[in-house]
Amino acid sequence: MRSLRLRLLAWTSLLLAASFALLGAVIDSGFEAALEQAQRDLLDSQIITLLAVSEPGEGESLALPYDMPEVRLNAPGSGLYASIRDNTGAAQWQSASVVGLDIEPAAPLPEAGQRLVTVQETSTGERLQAMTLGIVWQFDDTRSRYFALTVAESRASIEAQLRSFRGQLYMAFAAIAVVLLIAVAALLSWLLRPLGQIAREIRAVEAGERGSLSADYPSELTGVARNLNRLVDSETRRTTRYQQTLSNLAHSLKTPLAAAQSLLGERGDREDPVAEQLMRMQDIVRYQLARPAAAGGQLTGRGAVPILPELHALLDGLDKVYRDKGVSAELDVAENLSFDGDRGDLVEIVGNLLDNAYKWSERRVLLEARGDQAVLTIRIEDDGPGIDDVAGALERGTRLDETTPGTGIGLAVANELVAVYEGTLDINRGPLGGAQLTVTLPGGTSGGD
Amino acid sequence: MRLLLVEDDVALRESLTNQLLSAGYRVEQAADGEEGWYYASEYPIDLAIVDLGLPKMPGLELVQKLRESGRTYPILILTARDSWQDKVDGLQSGADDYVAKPFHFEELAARVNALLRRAGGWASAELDCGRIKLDTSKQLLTVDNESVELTSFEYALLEHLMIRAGDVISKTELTERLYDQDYERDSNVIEVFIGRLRKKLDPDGTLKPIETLRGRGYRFALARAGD
Repeated sequence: MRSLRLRLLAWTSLLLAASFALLGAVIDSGFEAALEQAQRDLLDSQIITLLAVSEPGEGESLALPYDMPEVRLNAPGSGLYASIRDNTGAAQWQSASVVGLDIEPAAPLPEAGQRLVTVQETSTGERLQAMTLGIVWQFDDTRSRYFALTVAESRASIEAQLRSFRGQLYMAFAAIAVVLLIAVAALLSWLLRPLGQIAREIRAVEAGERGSLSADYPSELTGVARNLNRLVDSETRRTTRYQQTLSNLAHSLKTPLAAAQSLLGERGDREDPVAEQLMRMQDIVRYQLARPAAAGGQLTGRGAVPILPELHALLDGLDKVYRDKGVSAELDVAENLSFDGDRGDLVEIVGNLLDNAYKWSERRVLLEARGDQAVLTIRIEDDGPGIDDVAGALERGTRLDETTPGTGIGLAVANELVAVYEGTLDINRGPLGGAQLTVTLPGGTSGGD
Repeated sequence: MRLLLVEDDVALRESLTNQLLSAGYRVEQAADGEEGWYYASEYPIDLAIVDLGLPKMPGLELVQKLRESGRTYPILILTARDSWQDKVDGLQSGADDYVAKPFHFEELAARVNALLRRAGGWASAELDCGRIKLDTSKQLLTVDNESVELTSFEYALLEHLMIRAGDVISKTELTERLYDQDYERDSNVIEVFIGRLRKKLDPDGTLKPIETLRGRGYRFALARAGD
């Protein structure tokens, strides 16, 4: 069983069922014994009454009145029966209520002065509790005779009382069990709430929404929270370190690469295949570098980056670089739009796409950004030839234009970065006739317009 | 044209210097930011190539300092850190263009050429002065649509004059910008080459493209096409 809640509820239910069964059995038999005892007391007093109304009759026999003081003895099948037998077991007298019934087996004959309690059954299947008292009747100084006085009463009332008692007992047990289970479930969810909170906070840390877990936990969990925080810390530090190491490695490789390329150039071999390999190395380094930088941004936390200043800076820079082309760029971005992420990642995504647009455009580049609470959309359009090989453009390290060194990788890098933010990059043909690149970043904006 | 190259990697610096020299530029080399600042302050410079990762003074700071001190010549940055953030930072600090390492020398040369041209007020690679046209990307001179052969020094001299067509350029400046060897400064080498250029550009003496202004220098006198 994988759920703590289910485990505890199952065990509690099992325990409740077992203890209620035991308790029920004890209470049930105790109550039954008490009822039987009460019936025996009643039988005893009936025997005493029977003895009181007995008179010596003809011969050595006992005579009893036709109308007994106890009316139930006079009505046939009333449930209360009495009989008097002699020492041979032959009936001397039977109450009127016994008429038409056989009571089996016959009660034993106890010694004089002894009471015996037995269970009988009538021919109609009624169960009886019977009490038999052995007596010796002294007719005069010399004559005496043994008699057995038996009074039996139906157990029907006992059983009816038992049934009703059991019904109440079971109802009470069920009510208690339900209340207990609800209480346990409530207790559980109260106990387990901090675990849910830890899970939520870990998700938030993972998403970069918070830096660490809060300190507000029950004492049993503070250790876990503290250790998790340490893990997050060391993970962040390690990622940063890896990122720096990677970045330093890549960047320190580039100057020797440039020197190697320049030396090759000096030898005058312009089509040197080694130079081509050097450019490939550069592309690989650049592409791989874009990824850890993006992942790092997520772990070390994001901020709401205002978009407009970054786009202005990019356009100013590209206007400088592409001054000879005389590209006119139109910017359509709301003032307060912001990007919920790493500033460098935003600049890298838009920079690569915008550079591509400037490179291929004839005269015009459009840049617009829209956002609401859920999605940030950045659209970049140019009036150049457009992109036919969309798959190839987004493929890792593919060059669309083999004659311009190190340029084809821009779209692939942007695509990788967009994917890290779980966004999409769509390439279409826009109204200007050239490429239209649409970046959609989910949850990208916090300011909105 | 006199270039300043600030790059701390010896192999790259020397190789680039060699290639820039054979492309007809004068080159001052500096190995760190402070040395770069020294050359930039002490020498007449037409364009600076600045690596961003420099010891002593970071490239960005050097570029900023150059701009703050009023130097307006083009600055090309070389950068190993080629994220867009780095490029934007470089361009915002005052640089005019960037080349990401590693690169083909041709790419660097094309950027240098374009920046120099642009600084002289030319929008395209062809310096078009009507009958005389100089294609700076192919290093090709045509006079009346006939191509004319030039030695590399002649080309450098003509390019310098034509890029700043209409401006008077002193003999000292030409010597400084075109010659590495100081001892030749006093010689009349410039006069000799101006004479040779005149013969090649204007064999029959009708066009008079290069004026001599006594005591002041020389001027490329043909109007720029479209002016």
